[in-house]
Amino acid sequence: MKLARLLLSAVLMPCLVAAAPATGASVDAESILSRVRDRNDGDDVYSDLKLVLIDEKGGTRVRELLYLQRDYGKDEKLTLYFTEPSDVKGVAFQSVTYDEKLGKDDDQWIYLPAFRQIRRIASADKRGSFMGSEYAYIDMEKLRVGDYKQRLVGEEVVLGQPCWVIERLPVSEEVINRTGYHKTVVWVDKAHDVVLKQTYYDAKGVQFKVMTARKLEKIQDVWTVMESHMQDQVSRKASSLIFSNVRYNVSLADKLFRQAIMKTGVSNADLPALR
Amino acid sequence: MRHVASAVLLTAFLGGSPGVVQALDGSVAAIWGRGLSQGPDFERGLQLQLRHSVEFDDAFTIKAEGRLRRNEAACSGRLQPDSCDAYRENFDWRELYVARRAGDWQISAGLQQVVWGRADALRVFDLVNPLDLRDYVLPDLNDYRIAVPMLRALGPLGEWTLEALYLPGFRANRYAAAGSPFDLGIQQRFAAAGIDTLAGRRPASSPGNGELGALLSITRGALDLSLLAFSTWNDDPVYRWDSTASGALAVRPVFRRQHIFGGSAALALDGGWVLRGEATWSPDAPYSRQLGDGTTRAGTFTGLLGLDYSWRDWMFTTQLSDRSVAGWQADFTTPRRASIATLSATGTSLSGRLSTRFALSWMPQNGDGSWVQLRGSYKLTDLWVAEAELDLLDGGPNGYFGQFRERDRLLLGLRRLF
Repeated sequence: MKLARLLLSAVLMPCLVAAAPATGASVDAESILSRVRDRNDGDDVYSDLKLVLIDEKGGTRVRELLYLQRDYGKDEKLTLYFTEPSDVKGVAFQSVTYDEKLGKDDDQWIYLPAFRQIRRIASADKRGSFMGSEYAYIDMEKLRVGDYKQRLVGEEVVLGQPCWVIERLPVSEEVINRTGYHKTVVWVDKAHDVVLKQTYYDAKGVQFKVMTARKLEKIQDVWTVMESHMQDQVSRKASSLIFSNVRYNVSLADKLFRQAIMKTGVSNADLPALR
Repeated sequence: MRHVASAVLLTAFLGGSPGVVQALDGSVAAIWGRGLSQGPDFERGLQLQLRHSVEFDDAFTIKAEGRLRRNEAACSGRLQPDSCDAYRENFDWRELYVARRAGDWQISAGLQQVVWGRADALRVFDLVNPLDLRDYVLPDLNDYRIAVPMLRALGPLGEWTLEALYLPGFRANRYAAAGSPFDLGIQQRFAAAGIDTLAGRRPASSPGNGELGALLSITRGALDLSLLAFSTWNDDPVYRWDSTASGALAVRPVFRRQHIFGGSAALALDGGWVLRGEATWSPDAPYSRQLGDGTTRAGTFTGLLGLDYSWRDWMFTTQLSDRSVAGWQADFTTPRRASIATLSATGTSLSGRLSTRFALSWMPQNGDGSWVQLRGSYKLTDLWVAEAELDLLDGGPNGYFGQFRERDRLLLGLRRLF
């Protein structure tokens, strides 16, 4: 559900993005984050994705899925289709994310093969775990500038890249209830407008989660976070998102973003140029 | 077993072909179940499920899923010898079809399950497949829906999505065998009144006796809409008065064609809520009655209103469904109204390892009673899953939920995925 644009958008998208380097003319926090959100990330994108769940003892479980995203004007549609392991095989998520200026909630659907039924899912609470991982659905979502008041608090180097450090405070209780975060701090790559690190704070101001980009690659002129890691500092559990076979502007067919594809499943034939 | 062997041979044959992508997975589970209060075990056995798909380069796909169930408790006393064998070992195809992409459309033919509607375990729109009621309505719907032969087309029609079906042969709901824990005892009830039950008369197998249905769906922002039309046969028989060869009073189960039209909607509301509704109207639904030849037809409205609330990793659902018979007469064997209310909470915890479901179903009229279900599964690893289910039934002796001798069931399982 929130999955939809989640994945690519939040972890990948920020990363995936290429874009114009920041200029000294606009270094206020809001402008930086607007550039992160609005940077060119292609008209559509395809990727294979591995979600690795790491327990407190280091044991791992891996989920594999297809990530498909396409722009429809200023809206975005996302289809996620799980391929491994067998207990989640065939599970599909779709979402539509609207232009932030419209102030509309996402529309989200889930298809569970065990029930052979497509269900609409509410999108107002994004605190839930994404497929049992330490990523919440909100973490998978494209960054929303208007949900926070933000200020530039410094500069640091992450993954070898000079970054702006920006503190973000929710503008309302509704945002806190939707995200579960009372404060976040983001590290934005100055040169590529990509989020390379983010920390998350609870109501007491205690940092309880940290996301770090581990691999950044330029693909088709789009800087893309190929691997990110989320560490829950309370439970000591962690998760990684590992992207591969990322392709931009591949003219993904409209049918991949219709609900019928969740019932029939995504086959190789639906992705002729990709597999 | 011969079906399993055939599937394995087919897999081996296709696996050697160039340009073929195939996948094989499934599970094997040890399952044990018994009543909490009385009686021998319900179940003591194994369940093997195999899923196989073969995809050819040209968008041509074969999908097969079979289920083999072995229950050593089937012949432990409840069942008659002639029916316990069928319950001791049973194989069924959950699906077996070939599909082909044609542009944006998918055409598929074979044994399939099709689910229409958005309800949580209630069937208003979910009309296509008959049910295997050997465990009554206690399992997941997907586990007791019977896959039936059909030709299916799914694709876009302008802004809409069309799903059209043709089912060439009719199959009725399959009731639990006499003496089994969930035997409805229909023949015994007639026998108690001195009435014999003759063999059922099913629609002749001919193209004109097929079932035809279509579902049109569209999404507009926060609103999903669907419309359906279905020309079908009643899955549960009606009973026509008849006589035996010796002239004794008897009833004969018969099936009638009926037409069903409906609409459904799901609307996302603010604050994590989704409002759902489904409604169908059948102008000619068949019913049993005491007068005349024992059968009649009446207009029937079925509606469902549901509200879902999402909170973190949990989904809370409440539903109210009602069926109302227009022109109902006192000699109908079916009540004028049948309502059911449900509450459920479904969620995951422990990093997705623990899945839990609590569900309450309540039918307030005619002593139909209630059903409480607690279900959980815990992923020990990615491959091993421990499962548990508790069902508690209550109600009058002739009520929907209370009619069985044994009104509780505990089911435990250990499943290995592969």
